[in-house]
Amino acid sequence: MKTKLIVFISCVCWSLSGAALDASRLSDDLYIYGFGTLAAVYNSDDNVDFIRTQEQSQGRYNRVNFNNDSRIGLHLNYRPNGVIGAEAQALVRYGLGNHYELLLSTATLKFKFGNRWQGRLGKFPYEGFYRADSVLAGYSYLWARPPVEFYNFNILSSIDGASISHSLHTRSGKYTARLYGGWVSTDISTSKDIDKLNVGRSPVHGITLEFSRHQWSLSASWSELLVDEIPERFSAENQIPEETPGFDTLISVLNGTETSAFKSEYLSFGTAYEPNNWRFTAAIGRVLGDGNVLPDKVDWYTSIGYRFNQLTPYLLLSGSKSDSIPSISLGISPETDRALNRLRMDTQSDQMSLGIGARYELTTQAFLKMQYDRIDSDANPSFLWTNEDPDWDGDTNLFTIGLDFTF
Amino acid sequence: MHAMIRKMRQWNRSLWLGFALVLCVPVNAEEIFVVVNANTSVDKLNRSQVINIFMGRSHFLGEESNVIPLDIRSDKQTKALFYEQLIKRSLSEVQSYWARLMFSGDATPPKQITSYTEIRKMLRDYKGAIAYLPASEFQPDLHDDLKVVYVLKEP
Repeated sequence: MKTKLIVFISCVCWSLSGAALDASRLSDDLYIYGFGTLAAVYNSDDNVDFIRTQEQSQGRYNRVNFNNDSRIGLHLNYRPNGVIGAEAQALVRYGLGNHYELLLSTATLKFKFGNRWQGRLGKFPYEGFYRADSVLAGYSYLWARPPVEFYNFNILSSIDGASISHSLHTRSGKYTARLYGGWVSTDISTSKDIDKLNVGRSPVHGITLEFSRHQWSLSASWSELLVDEIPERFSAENQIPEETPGFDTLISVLNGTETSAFKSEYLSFGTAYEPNNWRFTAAIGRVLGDGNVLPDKVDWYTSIGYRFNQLTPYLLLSGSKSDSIPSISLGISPETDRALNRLRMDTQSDQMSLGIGARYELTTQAFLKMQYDRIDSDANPSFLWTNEDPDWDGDTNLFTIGLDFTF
Repeated sequence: MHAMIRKMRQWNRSLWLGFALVLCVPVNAEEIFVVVNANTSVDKLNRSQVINIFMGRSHFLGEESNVIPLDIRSDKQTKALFYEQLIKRSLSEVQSYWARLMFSGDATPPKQITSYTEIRKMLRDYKGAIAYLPASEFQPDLHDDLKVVYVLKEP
């Protein structure tokens, strides 16, 4: 543990010294570079714990938490020629086991076919939503953390599979279309009672279209995920008392139609516009769920910032709201209908956050970010909140301070 | 008391004079030339084209479809000035931009070259190479095998 800490601090110091300005070249063909975040999150509410992603354990957390965002990663890029190449990325971060874990987040073989086509085979970042492909590297972001509402459902950070992309470099900018397919290579935690849910082997595929030029970048994507193994928390048998009239019918209705597996589609659109010193980003995602496990919903965020030399203050507004679902009746008894509708309502979400923050550039490779978030949850705020006390009113304040760096 | 007031007035005048001098003296007033191989088919680029090339969004340089943008590693001041004037971004923001692309395996940044001598050599050797040089490092009479396609000036 002590050695890890020394290595981590050394990387920070190296980065802060500005000694490592660019990717380190190990040989003519091999490059190595790294990134890291050292951060603390303060949650003002005693009645609930906060986790950054569902790839983190749902165990108890202190009000001041150094584990949510802190991480360090190394990226190797091997380019022996212009046709083939290989990349690997290893990451140490706080994971499901309630300790820092080593994760292989990228291991890819790349093939180029002419100037426009490129294929990838192996493990690579999931890119179902705007800028999702670099979600692990905090240095890439203007804000201190991805907005809670936008990333809550996006439990996938990488997939095992293949992709093919076509890029068109024109005088007006760059167009890219990328088609990918594979299997999820991530475990997630869905409740404190379950250590982890293995969503691996679940097929996922999608397409991403991107355009970037001068001050603009645009991205649109569609992806589909099919999970065979559903979280136990959603299991109807565990949530409906056996003595409920029509229990068997109710279970067969739920299992037969909605909770035996789930499929979800995700449509996403994002844009960034950066004229002069202004920084503007917006993204919206539409989840098309498959029943009770994942209701249809909309996630969105927008941020605006302005750079004054090394300081960039910004505002961030984000939200997530599921479509309201009408009550249904099985015609057995009012109690049966209540149980059914309560279960269906349990997956509803309605949350908004307002963030105010600033990024201060310490060197060209390190910056300090501070952010305050006011979070208001109106309906079942379950996604990145854990150990909720029944008294929790759904509102809380988060203060984040973090040092992001590359080396 | 009068002496003190007189002294304060003198200081005041000195301060204003100093402030005016600071405003008048141009800082980093040197022009930056965007330079290519003299045999390249392109004679002139506009600002958007230069941005697209240095930010990895275009591979075209005239008829050349494999452009090689070059960055100076050692002269941080010129590098910072170049990106500030070209895209209004600090070096840290440029690094963030490339970090996203590098860590997602999507693209590679301009080649980092240690000296201007090496940059000029690469410009001569590769028709697709493109780089920026401060006026002190580029003299048209001496470097006739290179040509300027865009000039960045202090606003």
